[in-house]
Amino acid sequence: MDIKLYRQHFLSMGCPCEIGVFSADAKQAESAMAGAENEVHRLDKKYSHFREDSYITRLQITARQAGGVEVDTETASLLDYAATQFEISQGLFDITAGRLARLWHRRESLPSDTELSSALRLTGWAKLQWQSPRLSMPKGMQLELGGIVKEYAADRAALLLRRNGMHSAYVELGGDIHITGPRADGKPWNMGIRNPDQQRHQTGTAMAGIPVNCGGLATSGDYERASIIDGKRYGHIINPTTGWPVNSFQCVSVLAPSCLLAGSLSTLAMLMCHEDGLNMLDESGLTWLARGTNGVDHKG
Amino acid sequence: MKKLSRTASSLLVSSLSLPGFTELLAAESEANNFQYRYTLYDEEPLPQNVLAQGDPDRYRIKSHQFRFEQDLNERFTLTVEGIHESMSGSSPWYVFPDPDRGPLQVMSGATISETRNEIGLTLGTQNNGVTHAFRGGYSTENDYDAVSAAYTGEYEQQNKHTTLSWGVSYSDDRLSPTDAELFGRIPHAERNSISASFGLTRILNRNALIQSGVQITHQDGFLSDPYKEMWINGGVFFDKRPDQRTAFSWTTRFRQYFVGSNAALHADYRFYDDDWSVTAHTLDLAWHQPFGENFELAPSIRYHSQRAANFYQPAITDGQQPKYWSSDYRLATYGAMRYRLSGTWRAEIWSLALNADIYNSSESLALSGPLFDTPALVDFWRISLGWQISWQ
Repeated sequence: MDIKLYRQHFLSMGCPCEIGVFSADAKQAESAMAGAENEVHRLDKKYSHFREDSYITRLQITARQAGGVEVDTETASLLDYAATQFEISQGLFDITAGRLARLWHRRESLPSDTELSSALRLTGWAKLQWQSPRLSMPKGMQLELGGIVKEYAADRAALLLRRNGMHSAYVELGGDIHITGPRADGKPWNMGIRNPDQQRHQTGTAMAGIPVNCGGLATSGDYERASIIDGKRYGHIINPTTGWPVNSFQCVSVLAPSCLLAGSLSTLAMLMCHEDGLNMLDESGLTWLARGTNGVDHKG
Repeated sequence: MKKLSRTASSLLVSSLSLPGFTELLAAESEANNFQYRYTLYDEEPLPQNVLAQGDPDRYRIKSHQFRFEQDLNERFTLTVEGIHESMSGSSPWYVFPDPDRGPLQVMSGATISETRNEIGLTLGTQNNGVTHAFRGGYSTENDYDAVSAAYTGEYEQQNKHTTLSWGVSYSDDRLSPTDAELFGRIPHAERNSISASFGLTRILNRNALIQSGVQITHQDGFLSDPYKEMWINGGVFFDKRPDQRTAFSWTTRFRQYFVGSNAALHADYRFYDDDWSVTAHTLDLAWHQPFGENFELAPSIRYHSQRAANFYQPAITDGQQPKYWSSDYRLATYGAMRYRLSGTWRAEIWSLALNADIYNSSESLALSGPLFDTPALVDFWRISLGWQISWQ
């Protein structure tokens, strides 16, 4: 039997997604990929802020009412994880920054001071009450799970591939990757990191290739979903304490045991000042690559 | 992979409560590893004031253990374990009821010297979130051979933070005591044991988990100790125990991580009860405290209390010969304290662990049970050095 690479492309979570598996059995490969794709769609449907009928949208409406709301186990674990992110980042990684994220979403002009201070007033993990499984939020606050859900979905999809016997496979959701194991020939996958100098949707050479045997690879950068205002680029990662997009790195990539961990650390580095970010990455014990705003690359 | 920073490991630990993440990360951790452990176990000599005759120097055991785990292919993992032990020293035979000095212990005269070798093979596989492990083992020494087989399974429920585990095992043992003809011991005997277990692990919150399990074991065959004897009304008779034993045990383990001190409390309790009327309670408390990124110290204290078997007596001086009897101190009423200090040093793919134990036992430490003077109750120290290397 020939072992072949089967690939599947689809759109979910607002980005192009891809699943690839090495398998000797086309049917098994397709059924495993379908299972993984369904898992990504399930999480997109459940946690999308852009769907009025999503679980997270409805949850937030109820959570703003008196007494709050009891959340399901999966969401409770994600909120617990977000609490840890907030704690270890000393408030820089804050999922309550939904108002700020929406304020900066595809803007053509800078927000006014009033708009900024109004969004900042409704930002801050300390302002919501989270006692698992009960969540209570102040009126007007919006959660931003963008820095968690896509990475989590890549990990979950990879888990399902693995459970279906796909030990040589990858899941890529718009640059967030999870690899279940080496290629069929035992060699690592060579995963490219997109060059931030290139325009959105423009294909071309990668900034770097990282050989990956297994685990999660995530990249945070200002080239995705950025707003160009008066010729200046403003990324989508917002410092929840100042209300302004961060400006320490063009992009940061981290390779970790899970895509969720990789994404948390790459975003955290983006949120820190240049030097603190590099120190944090250096001490992390993981493989990483960062491009400073001056175009200088650092890696470890 | 290098050791993770505190930031990275806090996030990683926090993510373990997400559905499936324990399985996902365990599958991708450093699966291949080799461990070696050397243990030196030394029992205190029997005090002269309770020695009737024989050699007071008790067991000293040197043990070499290794364990090798390797992924065979995408599906299967093979684990090979081996033990080589050498034992020397004398062992308690029976209690002599000295009318003036009270119960005195008669020890084996000549020093026993023997070795034991054991090999175990485990094949592990995962299917649809269920982990299966099949183990076969063989142990041999000059007077004892055992063949064993076991199966264990584990299933992590999706979204529920709960892991179920179950297992069955069987062991077929053959005894051929040394110097059987010279001492009149049974020349050949057999026993077998079968056991079943069921357990449940639940993550209580991101810093605590609880694990609870029950086990039932049934033994059948020659369950006496062919080297132990008993003084009965002026004569010395070989140990005679029932030929069946059914035991039940319930173990609960609790783990609590303290964020402020970056340390963990391990609290374990075990209840044991069998149809020989032996009942035991064991409580083990350990505090795992990391110092810096690479070093961890774990002091622990364990208390054990046991109620004697209904046929246990050190000696019978003026009574009828019962149906079953044993003067084996391991079936007596006693209590014991074990103090342990463990140090573990980890760097990248290596780790080194040193354990030191001190163990004291006495009748007065027991919670309850029929009390007798049991002169052979043992005190010992044990030191153990382990080394491990992991790779992907």
